[in-house]
Amino acid sequence: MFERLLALRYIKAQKRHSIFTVCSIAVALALVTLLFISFSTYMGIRRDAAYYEKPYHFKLMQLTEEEYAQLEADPEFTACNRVTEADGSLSAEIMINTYHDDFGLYINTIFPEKYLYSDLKETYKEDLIDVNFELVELDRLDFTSKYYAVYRLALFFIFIIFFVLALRLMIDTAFEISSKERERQYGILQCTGAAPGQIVRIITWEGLFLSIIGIPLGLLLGTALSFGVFQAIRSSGVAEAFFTAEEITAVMKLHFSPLLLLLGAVTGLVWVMISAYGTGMRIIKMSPIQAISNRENKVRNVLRFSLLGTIFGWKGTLAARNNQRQPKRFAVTVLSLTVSIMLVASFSLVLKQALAGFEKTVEVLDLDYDLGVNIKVDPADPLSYKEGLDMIRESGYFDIDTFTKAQLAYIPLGDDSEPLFCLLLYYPRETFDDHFVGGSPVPYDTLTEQGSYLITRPTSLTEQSLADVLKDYTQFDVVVQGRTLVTDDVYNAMTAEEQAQVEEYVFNDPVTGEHAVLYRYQTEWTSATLPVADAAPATKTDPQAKKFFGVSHDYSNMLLLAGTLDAYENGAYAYAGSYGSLINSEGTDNIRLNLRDDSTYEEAKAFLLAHDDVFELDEDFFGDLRKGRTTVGAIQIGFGFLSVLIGLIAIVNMVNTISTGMLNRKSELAALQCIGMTQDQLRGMTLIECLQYALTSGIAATVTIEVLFLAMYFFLKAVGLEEVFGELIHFTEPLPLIGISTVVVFVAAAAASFIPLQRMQKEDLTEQLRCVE
Amino acid sequence: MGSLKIEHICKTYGKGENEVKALDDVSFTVPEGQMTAVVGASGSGKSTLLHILGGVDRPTSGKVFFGDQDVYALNNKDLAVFRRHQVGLIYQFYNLIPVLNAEENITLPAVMDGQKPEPEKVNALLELLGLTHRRKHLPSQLSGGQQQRVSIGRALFTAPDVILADEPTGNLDSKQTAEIIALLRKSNLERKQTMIIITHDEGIAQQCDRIITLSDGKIIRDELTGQGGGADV
Repeated sequence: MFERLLALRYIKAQKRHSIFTVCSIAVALALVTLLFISFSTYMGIRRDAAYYEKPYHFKLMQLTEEEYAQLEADPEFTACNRVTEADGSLSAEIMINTYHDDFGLYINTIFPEKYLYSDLKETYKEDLIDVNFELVELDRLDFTSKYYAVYRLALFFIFIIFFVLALRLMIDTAFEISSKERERQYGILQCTGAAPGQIVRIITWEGLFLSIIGIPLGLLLGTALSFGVFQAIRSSGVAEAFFTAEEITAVMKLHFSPLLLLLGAVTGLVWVMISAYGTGMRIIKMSPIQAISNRENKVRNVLRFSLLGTIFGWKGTLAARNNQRQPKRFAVTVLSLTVSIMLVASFSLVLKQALAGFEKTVEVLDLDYDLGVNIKVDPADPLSYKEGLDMIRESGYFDIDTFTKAQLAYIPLGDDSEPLFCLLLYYPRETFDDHFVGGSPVPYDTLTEQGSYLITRPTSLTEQSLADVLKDYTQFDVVVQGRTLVTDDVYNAMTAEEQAQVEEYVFNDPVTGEHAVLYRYQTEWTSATLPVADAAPATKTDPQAKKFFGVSHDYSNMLLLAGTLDAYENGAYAYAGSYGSLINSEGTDNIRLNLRDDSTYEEAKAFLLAHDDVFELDEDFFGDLRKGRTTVGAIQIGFGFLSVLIGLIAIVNMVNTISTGMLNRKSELAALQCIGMTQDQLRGMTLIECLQYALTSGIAATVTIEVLFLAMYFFLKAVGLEEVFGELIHFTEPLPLIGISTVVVFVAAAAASFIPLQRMQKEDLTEQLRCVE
Repeated sequence: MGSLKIEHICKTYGKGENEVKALDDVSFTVPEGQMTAVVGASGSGKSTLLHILGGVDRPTSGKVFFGDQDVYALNNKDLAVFRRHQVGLIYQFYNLIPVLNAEENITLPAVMDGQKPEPEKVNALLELLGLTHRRKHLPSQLSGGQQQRVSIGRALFTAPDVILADEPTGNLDSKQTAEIIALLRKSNLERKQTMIIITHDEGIAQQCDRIITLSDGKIIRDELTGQGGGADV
């Protein structure tokens, strides 16, 4: 077959073009391979992590030996591991590889009498079975997981469709460049009797031969690239945000899906064949004489007005019209450039803003401390928190953010008047000054010595209202509430009349609706006289002041009296009776802590966990924020990689489009020089063409991002959050990054056009003109 | 200013065994206002000669004088300006810019110069070329003859001293050929332009003042038509 022979001869004769085409195929396929391996690796890691955490599809618990023997004999199970639990009970960890439409119904077939799954409630008996739902889903063992698998694959393919189009353009351009130089020969072949189909076959054979080298090369390159990227991600520490060190070793592995790799190779081959076929079809549409004379004069319409023409004169007009000659290519290139500029400019910004938003939320909700710890206390001992507090203090890891002991009291104002309720707050030395604007007007030690209090108010109260509260008080006669714990034994020994006086602290489980009496208590009221040392406004951030004056209206008329924790320990606790107050005391006292040194987070956390008899870690905002930051960092790395990838594809396409355009117009550019265009003018015109790519992409990216920002702003306004979060939206913030990206695009475009221009200028004008003649 | 003189022009392509002498020691002078035809077989060096005369292709050796100006002593930029101002080039395949319409193509050399084309001048030229009703059409929307007339218009617009035409009627039918040659002759007479026309058409050559015949890169015959008579070289 002469088509094959000619195809091979052309490949050999045009070595540089053949290498360029092979490289284009290889690079495009390498990028697709990278994406496919990334997808299979992501899914693989998720699956391994799910298995690592729970190495079973389901675990049956509280089994008898007979039941276990029955399970072990079941041929449907690929694994049935015997596990003896800490309480001595027998469990079996089971793996299966069979598909069941409804997993719950299948489970019920194992031990029907146990009703392990309630079809009505769609719940499992948690004390008898633990299903590893994630592993079941990832192993596609039921209908729902199949649905999710299809959904995930669909999302993935929607995502890569853009890449596929952009990457195909690379191969397309490579074919066009190599065939452009050969159009004349194809014309000659047609003149000597080659049928159009034969011409197309020559080019498609050529595509096939080049694919034989390009596709395996692309797969290898993509695999190597995947290894490189994976190693970079591993060494970046991103994985540590999601996994422990042991999990990283166990699950962070590259996964290859032969099916996806095959799909990649087939996609590559299809691309090449389509590109080759398309090129062939384009050539045979020309008459042989057109192909021989290589005269393309297809411009049918031009824009009469162009902005570039107005700004740069005739060079601008020519440049704008030249770019218009390849409208599809121009549109695809500009679109891919716009997307990459947007990704570069907006994603780091959006993620930064998301983190700032998270931090702002933390601040607004008054959660701007590192760790919330519950100190376990004996409700019957008002000073039992001291052990935990001292351990915190002595550990050296923490600064106390907030710790408060509180007592509820009231000031009787006469028979006809409602009493004035007040809250007695005792702050530790470390934070005492922080609760008042400008610090405490009376030193901590003096207040401790005197056992006196500061009348505090939030800054929202005016001087006048403070004066009204203060009047001439130098001391208050108060009645302090004390709650005495009533143990079960004491309660049971009481008469019915006495029991009626006992109050209960009941916990209502919102899920089960179960009522549980946590403890019982009796309320006593003890009179006391409290000396007042001074008045001091509370700081805005004082949580108690906020709680009682700012947020809760019920307490808005409540007076706050601040004392020292040392005074509390010295005897003030007894104002609330011998057992102290049960306010805020459900067996724990909450303390908010900040880390003295962020780098000691792990040690500090380990310290708290090691003393779980004293402490209960309630909130770990430091860890959450760090995880958030690392997650944002990971997403930033991911999107950075993605934007660089898209950017590279976009730039390669732009370079190809511009170079092809220049080659196609070689004779035209020579003709322009023949009628007097200087090389400077030619370079100027080319630069304007490049500028149009860069500016169009830059402007499109700016407009899109600003529209998105505006939409976000209006959304915040609609939900009434623009005052809090509106300040996070800075319309001008993406502009510098867009500017830099646009300049990068312009420089790449200029380089792309100057290189062929430079090469052309090495040829005589007559040689360049011969492209036409 | 419109006289052309070339001295001992040689043009060689390739090297060693592949060396081809396209022009071999060619010398002649064309006085101002003369319309000269260059004829010869394919590969005789006609187009090479024309390109060298037009400042498009540098000779391997020898000199080209335009009046007193040694054309190839100019740097690339001045050479481009020289082509823009002093020479009008007409090609067999027109070499029009496909994104510019007829009027824009014609006025391009002036526009490149930073000038705003005078509407009267443009209208007069379009009228002369018979393209008034086609002025806003793109090259792809014009016939071959019309495209060649645009190409001639572009060559004439800056009123250069020399018009160089390479097979200007090679793609045209006999009627269009007669029109184009008449147009060139008219311009030659009215503007006293020096013209060199490369042609295979004996009839066109005979309408010129002088015929130079090339063979294998050498002038083998240089004759005046009409009053001058022939002068073998």
